Amino acid sequence: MVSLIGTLVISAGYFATMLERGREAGGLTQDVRFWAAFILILIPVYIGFKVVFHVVFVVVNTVATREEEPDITDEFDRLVELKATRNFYHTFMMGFVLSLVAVVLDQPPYVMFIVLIAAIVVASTVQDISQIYYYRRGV
Amino acid sequence: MPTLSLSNTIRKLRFDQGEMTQQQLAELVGVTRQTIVAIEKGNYSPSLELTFRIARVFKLPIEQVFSFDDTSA
Repeated sequence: MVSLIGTLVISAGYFATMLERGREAGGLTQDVRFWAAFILILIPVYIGFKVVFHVVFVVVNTVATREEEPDITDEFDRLVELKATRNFYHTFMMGFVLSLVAVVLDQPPYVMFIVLIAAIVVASTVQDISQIYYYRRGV
Repeated sequence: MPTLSLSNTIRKLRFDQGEMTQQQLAELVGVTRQTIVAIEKGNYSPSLELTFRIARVFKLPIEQVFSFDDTSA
C-alpha cells in the first residue's frame, strides 16, 4: 500500500514539476531531447524517492507499532514479487506497443513519449496493486 | 474439471503446542508471519522444503499436517 501511494505521489509530483518546465519552454515541445531526458530523469528520481518512502515508512511503522519489519524475504515474498513484476512487464509492453501505434498514425513525437511515460506509471501502479492482491488473496 | 487443494491443520497444531503464535512458528521455520498466515488460510501452497520444516516443528509426518484433496467439480 505504501509503495502504491509512493508511486502515485512521486508520479504526480514529478509530472507537475516537469510539465511546468515544459510550459515555460513553450508548451508541449516537439524537442525529442526534452522527452528523452524526461524519462531518463524519471527513473532515478522514481527509485530514489521510493527508497526514501520505504525507509520513512519502516521507521514510522516501527515506532508506532513497536513491531520490527521482517528482514527476510522468503519463498512467498519472492513468488509475489515475481508475479507482480510479470504484470508490470505485460502492462508496460502494451504501453510500448501503443506508443508505436501513435508513431505509425503520424502523431507528433511527444505523443509517443507521453504514452511511454504513462505506460511506466500505469505499469508501476499495476505492480503495486498486484502485490497487494497476491498478498491478500494468495498465489 | 478436477479441483486440487492443499489443506492443513497448522492452526490446530499450534494451539495444541501451547498456543504457539504464528510469529513463533514463522521464526522456527525461517519465513515471515505473513507466509504462515497465507498457508493457514489456504492462500499459498508451500514448497516441499517448507512443508518438511513445518512438519518437523510439530514432530509429525507431513500427512498429518497437510492433506491433498483431489475432488472433481
